[in-house]
Amino acid sequence: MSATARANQLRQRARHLRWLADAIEASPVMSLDRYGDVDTWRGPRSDLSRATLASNQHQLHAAAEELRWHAYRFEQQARELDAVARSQIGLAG
Amino acid sequence: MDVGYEPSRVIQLSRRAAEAINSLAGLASTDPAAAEAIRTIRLTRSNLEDHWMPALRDIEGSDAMAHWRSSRLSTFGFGTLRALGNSFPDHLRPGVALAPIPPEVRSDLLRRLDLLERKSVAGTNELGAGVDPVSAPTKAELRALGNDLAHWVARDDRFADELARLSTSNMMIGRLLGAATFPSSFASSVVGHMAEPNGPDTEVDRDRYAESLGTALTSLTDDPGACLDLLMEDGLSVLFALGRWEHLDQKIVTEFMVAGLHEAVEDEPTRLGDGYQVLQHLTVLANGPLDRRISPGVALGFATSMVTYLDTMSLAFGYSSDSSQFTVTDRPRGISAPLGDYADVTGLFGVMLRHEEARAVLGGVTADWATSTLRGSTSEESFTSHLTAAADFTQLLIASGIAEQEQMEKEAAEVEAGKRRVGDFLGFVVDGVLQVKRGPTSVRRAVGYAIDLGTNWIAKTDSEVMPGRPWGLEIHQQIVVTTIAMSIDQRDFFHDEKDRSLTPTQRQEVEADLALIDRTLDPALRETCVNAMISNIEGYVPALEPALNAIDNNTAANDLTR
Repeated sequence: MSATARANQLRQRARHLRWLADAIEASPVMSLDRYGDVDTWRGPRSDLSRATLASNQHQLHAAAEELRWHAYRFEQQARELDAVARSQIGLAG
Repeated sequence: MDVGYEPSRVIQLSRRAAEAINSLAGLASTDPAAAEAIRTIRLTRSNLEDHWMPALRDIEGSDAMAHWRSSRLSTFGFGTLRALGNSFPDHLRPGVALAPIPPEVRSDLLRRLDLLERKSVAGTNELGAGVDPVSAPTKAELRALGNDLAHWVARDDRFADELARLSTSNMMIGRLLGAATFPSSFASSVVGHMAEPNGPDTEVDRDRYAESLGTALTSLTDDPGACLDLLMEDGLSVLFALGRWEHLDQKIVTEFMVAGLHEAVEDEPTRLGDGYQVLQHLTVLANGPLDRRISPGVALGFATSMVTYLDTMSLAFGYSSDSSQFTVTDRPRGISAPLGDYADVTGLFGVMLRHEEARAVLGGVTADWATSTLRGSTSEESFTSHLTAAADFTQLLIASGIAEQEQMEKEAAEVEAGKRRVGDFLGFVVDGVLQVKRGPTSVRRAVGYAIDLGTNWIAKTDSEVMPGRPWGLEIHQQIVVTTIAMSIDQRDFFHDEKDRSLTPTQRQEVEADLALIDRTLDPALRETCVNAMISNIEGYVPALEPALNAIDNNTAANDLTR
């Protein structure tokens, strides 16, 4: 696979990871806490469920950030590969 | 205790929670960089399914749903103790009074079970014919029957046993394990009955059978101790089935193996001996009926779980290197587990190393373990001891790779004799590493890093589909790079006969070059970078010259690089 093709592949992966990050943050689970407040249900079991949900939401936000970081790195690598490909063309010429 | 709920809001919450579950189910990715995110998504979904939904269903099903109440329910919140108990693992479940199932209830449940099985078969057939599976049972039907069966399974052992035996012909039973919360002992019994080395030899639909068994296995992963119990049972039938029948969902097999081999021991360290018993069974299978192939799910589960065993296992290899048998011993935990002789152990690791993903994971786990162990050393003596253990273990891994390569070469030779040179090449590059390893003791670390860097590189690279060539050019490059990378940490290598050492600037240049190589994914470009580095490094590190020259001059390597 050429450097250019590899760069394109990395960009495609970056796009996919950004899409996944956006999809995670747009998921209904991220707003579920609004529907499950103390006016809806109260008690130790609901407290536990809310705490678990809050923890999961925090983990999902972190996962989305991690995906964006991977995407950023892939794009950075793609740029480096582009530069290498350009320099190879220059040398060949 | 303030306990209560607002019915209309609970209904809306339940609907939103179901939407959230469906939405999470639709988020998927096969990109390795998304693996952690997918795991988090799965965890969240599992929490909603296992905790939120049962709690909300209990409220919705309660006769007290008519109005807001400052509840008469217990301080545990909503629902009955039974419902609460069913949301816990066995060991946390409140006591359940045993009672035989009334004959008319038994007949009714078996009739409903049969009906749902028939509807499920009809739905599968419709799906196969390309039409909407309108006949398939609904989730509500599955849940309702699952809850009713679970109620009696927890109370009547004979009924539970009857259902477990029925699971090999009625796929619905395994499937219901995913629709309601059953005691782990029942799920174990179902798996025990359903697990067959090559799948069922009856007339049942093998796809539905595999799916049903997969659901049963998944239902057990919340109780790692039960998974370990099943893996260590005397007949080896479950372990053998998981290693042999690749029709099963391999992700589920991996999760089950990790739950039993790793999580169960992490949760309860006194069960390390039980984990070793499973490894003993695996050694027997890997050197017997599974010596040519083990399922990817078992291999990956084994590799991932090694993090739990490397500490004790590596010491056994070190202490018993002069004896014919390897025995893992841990006196405080009362463990004495003979794993077999050197050939047996290399046979075990070798068959696991056939799988690319397992190789990558085993490499990463080994290197992480070696690094953390060495960093945790409190004295020079313990450092040396750990280093020796790390080197002995990584040497064993390499020996396993060579032995397996030879085995695969024999298999490939039956098809195409020309692939033999690949085996020669692998043997050579491993020799290259071992040559460096004969240097100062601390350079032995190179072996561990070679595994790590090599497997990471393989994991990032498109796999080459070629039966006789699981390793190749990438490893060649990696060995060269690793040899250099490790050597720049070793003062001994940076002194030539005139005792000239590497200058700080030269060291920075080498490190920058190595970092560039590690980032370069394109194979051709990477090869250029490696070659450029070799030509530079020989001037800096004279002691490396013989090893690098030998690698360059190897004819098998040249064949591969053409």
